[in-house]
Amino acid sequence: MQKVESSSSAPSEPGITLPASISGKGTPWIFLGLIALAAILAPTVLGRYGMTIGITLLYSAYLASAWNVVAGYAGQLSLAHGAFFGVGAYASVYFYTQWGISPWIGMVFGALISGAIAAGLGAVSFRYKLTGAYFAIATLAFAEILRVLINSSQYLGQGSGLVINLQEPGWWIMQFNDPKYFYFIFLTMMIGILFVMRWLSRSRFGYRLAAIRESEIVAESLGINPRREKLLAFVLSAILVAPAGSVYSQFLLFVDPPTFLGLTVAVAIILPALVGGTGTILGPLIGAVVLVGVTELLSHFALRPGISLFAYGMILILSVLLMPRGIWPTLHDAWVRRRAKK
Amino acid sequence: MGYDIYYWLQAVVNGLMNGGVYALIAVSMTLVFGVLRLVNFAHGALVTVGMYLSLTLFEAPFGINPYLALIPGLALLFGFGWVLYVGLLDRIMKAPLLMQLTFTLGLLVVLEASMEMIWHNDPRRVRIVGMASRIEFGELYVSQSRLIAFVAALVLAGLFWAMLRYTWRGAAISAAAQNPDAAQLVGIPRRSTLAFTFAIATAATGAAGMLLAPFVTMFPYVGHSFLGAAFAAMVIGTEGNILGALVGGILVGLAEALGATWMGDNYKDAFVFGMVLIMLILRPEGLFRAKSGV
Repeated sequence: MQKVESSSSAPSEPGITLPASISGKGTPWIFLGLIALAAILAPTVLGRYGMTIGITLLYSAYLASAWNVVAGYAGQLSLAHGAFFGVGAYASVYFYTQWGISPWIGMVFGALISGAIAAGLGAVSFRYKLTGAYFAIATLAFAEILRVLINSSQYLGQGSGLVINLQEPGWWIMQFNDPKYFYFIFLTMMIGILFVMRWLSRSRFGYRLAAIRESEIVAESLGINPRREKLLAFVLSAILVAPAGSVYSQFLLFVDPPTFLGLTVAVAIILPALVGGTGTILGPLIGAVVLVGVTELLSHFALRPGISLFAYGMILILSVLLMPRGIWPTLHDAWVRRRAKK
Repeated sequence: MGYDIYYWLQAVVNGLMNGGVYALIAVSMTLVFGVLRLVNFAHGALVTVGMYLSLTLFEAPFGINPYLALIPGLALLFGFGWVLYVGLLDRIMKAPLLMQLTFTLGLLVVLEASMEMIWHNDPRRVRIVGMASRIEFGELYVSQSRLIAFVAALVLAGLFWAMLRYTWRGAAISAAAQNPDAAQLVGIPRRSTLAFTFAIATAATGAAGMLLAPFVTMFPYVGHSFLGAAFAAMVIGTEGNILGALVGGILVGLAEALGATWMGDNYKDAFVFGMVLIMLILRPEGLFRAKSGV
């Protein structure tokens, strides 16, 4: 296979299984290039319906990848990402509907606001050494407070949210006749975040995060400042999540609390990364392919409301039981082991 | 300003009543945390399971009174908890934290989605004739079903505590909480002790739901707000401390009711989660000491 030729991603020392993120020395460029080419050409083949699935796929993969930065690489289980996603959406929609500011500019502001909130929340959480389950509970608590506040805010439309008026399509206002434009925006974002994670997997910053994830005490004894590194990862992750909220709200032409805020949204963001494999470059994308695929299949059988959510939960439970590290690392290691035997 | 005082006193009464039920939920959550070392995100969904169980027994052809239904209900919920532990949770007891949290999140989603599939996403309630009647004390009042829930929840929480304190099973659970390996060495079976702990916690949590069913409108996702209250009560009462969780539950109920009276009903969840954040930051060890014992 082409893939085998072009790749040299086996660990340098056979027998030592490093996480896929660390062992990935070479990149299967040709293989990835073919996928990228297929993704770019997809809109010419797929219809409107196919495009919608493509958008769902890319945007859930993107969100999971952004969460992966703080949870997968730094090992901090944030449940506030639903809130950061919502902040991005609310910022751009509010700026546009209120002052007519382009969603592209609103998107930048959304990312900055989201980053600033993460900086505040992270600074407090890490200052008071909230790790593990305590960090998860603190971020959950924060996200729920933000949801309540937005849900009650008159400026932000309370429970029914804000609606974007349909206008003459154009790039400046991020409204299009054809969903393929949104597809391309998400595709660009997805490729961008793959490079961010590639950088994380091989930069000193990424290694410091991995050290903290494995053992904060050991990392600290090696001269790493866990508080600073975790905060940077958290802020970076929040800045990355928010723009997806802005673009997705333009795609839907509205923003409201149930779709953009709360625990259910946070779980949906996290899921692809957990299923595909946290702390890896391709894990979130592969997880999204599996999850969106299953949900699409189920939607054709249109059984009962709740069935796709049920399948989501079952995949989550089964992936913990059967592939606790996620699909991608499990497959990757199996493949490396086979190669090593030969 | 007589009106104002009664207005606030009424909030205190309402808060106390809710707090009793939160206490029962928090007591079982803190037990699961203390003994299984598991943060159970599915705990709120177990309350919802209890609510729908009550509804189902009530709407069955023979129609069991929701309070009588507690007897078969507790047994059913105990069995459900046992099966959940032995079938699923036991496999992740030694897994890393991220995996455990993921797992209980998955359990939460599965439970809620199952309830949506079975009972649909319409608001429902157990309607008992005459139960809406109020009991008045001068200017203050309390609805009959709330008072029953309060008393029954505290009685159940008390029984729970007494069971842990005075029975062999309870001693075994405390031992397993303090040192699982040493407990196993002196002949306390690990698996069945943990299964019993989770089962009894499920029964208590579900019972709280059954007590709430006559006056709280249920839908499959109603458990989220109880999850918050239970987290808050657990953190306030020091994780693993039963009596602490009891006090914490009542404090959360009071804070929620006073907050709602002050700012409006929409904001009450913000007060509960605000208490969680403040406690985690200012006093992560909780209001009580004695972390080890149950």
